[in-house]
Amino acid sequence: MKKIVEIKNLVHEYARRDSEGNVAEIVRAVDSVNLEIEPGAFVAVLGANGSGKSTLAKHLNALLMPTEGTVLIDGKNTEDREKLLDIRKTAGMVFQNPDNQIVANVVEEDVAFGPENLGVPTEKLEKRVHDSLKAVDLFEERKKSPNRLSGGQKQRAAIAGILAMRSKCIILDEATAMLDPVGRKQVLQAVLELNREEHITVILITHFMEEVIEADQIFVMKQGEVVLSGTPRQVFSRKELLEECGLTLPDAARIAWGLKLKGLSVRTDVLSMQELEEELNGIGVSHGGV
Amino acid sequence: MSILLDHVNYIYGENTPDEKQALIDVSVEIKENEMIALVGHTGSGKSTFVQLLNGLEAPSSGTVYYQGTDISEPSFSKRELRGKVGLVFQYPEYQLFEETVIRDVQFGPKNMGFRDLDIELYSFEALKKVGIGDELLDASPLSLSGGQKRRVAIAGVLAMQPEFLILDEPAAGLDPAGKREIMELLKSLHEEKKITILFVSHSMEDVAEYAKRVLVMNEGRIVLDGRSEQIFSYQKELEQIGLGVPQSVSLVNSLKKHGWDIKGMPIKYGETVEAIYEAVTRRSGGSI
Repeated sequence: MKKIVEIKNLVHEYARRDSEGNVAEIVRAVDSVNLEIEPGAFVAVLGANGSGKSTLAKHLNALLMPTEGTVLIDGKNTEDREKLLDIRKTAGMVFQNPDNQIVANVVEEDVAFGPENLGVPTEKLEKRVHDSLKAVDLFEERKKSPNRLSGGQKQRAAIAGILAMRSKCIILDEATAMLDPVGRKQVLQAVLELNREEHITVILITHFMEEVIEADQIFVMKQGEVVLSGTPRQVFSRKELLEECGLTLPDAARIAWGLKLKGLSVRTDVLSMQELEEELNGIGVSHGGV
Repeated sequence: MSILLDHVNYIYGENTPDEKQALIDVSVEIKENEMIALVGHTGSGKSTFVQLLNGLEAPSSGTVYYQGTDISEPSFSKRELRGKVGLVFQYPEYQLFEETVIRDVQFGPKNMGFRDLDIELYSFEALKKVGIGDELLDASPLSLSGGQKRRVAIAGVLAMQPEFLILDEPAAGLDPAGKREIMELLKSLHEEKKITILFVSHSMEDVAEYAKRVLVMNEGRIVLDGRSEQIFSYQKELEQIGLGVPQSVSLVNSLKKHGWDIKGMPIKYGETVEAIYEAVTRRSGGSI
């Protein structure tokens, strides 16, 4: 099957300038990255601040162009100017700050902005906006001013705008970073449902380890390179490497490691508190009544 | 030494269709040498609350006292108050504007009207406290990493020699390593420099790990105020207002419910590991 994202030897460099505008140094923000994403996958990208995650993400809908290498989105090269609209339609992006992404005075108009620009006829447009707002559970809010929405609702409105363009792929660039726990949960739930039910590819860029434990695949970036990839269990078994990358383990695994270091024989590759509890109950039983 | 809020109400857009009461009858005292977390979901009144603490906003009714003096009295110096109660906003790195790190940090104490020698001394000290080395003094703030920028922004407030340091989500948007760095910095400022710290946080894990006292806000009111261990025993109530408890506390509560003999109420990482370890040992009769 055709990959939704295909990145070959991607390098991105930019010039850092001093206060007089002279080039002070060339920064290699993305360094020789190769990766492929299957349609319908839920993929996470982890990495410290400045590791190149966002720069990588901005190549996925042609906001940035490669210095070297190629990026294919659903088979289309992002450097092909004629495919630009098509690529932006295929891969929609949700950014970190909920307040910077709103263009209209009414929620449903904001959601309609993308597809309207793509030339979707009015009668189809209404249905798309309606369905998209339902999908992110914002239908009741459709007549409100976006200013009246919470941060989590604003991000879901941005997601609805992408859905209304019938995008195959949603990229969340730390889209939950500025939200409170409830808002974060709502946004994650909305994209996970879209992933499971509509088979929309989700690329989640985040600092929250707990958000990625259900991902099909995780890519870990450090200084512009992908230094680790695999399933959550594979990735979170590399404690030392993750710590070198400025990351950490999910809390359940951290507690398991703490117990192991005290001499208990517990599995340390647990991803959730539920798994850790089952593991602990197992220990209790096998030694119980001695 | 304290900041005292006495029956404070705050109403936005009074007598307009958008009128909204952001704070409702808030009475609370923040004392010397405390380490407090302020939690509550978006729109619960946290930001309004912190802006009242250093006089950026004035209450619609009720009184704010600093060291026993009503800060709304005309003779009270607001400028001095803003030095004594340092406020670090969310994403403070966006507010760095000078050409060099050291000049950015000097801006605050200069504004306070300190003597030149003091300005220099306080600025160097503040940068040292936050772990920014001499080699970065003349660097452009824009060339620093996200975590470094945030520490410079905090140094700018510390250089005004505050007795209270109020931070609105100091760790938001940072990676786990940067987050730990900032939280450890606050801990050391509290423990070594005896500065009273109040930080706003959405991470119950950080609150459990670093705060001694927790204020919980909901719909404009302070609904819970107590020691961290006490606050996190209200799991159901916290979940009802969209907050919850640290994951490790959920684990311990669930283990207890299923018959595990776990002593006390561990809320920090180290305490949790220790308590579970002891419970496992007891359960297996010490035969591991």
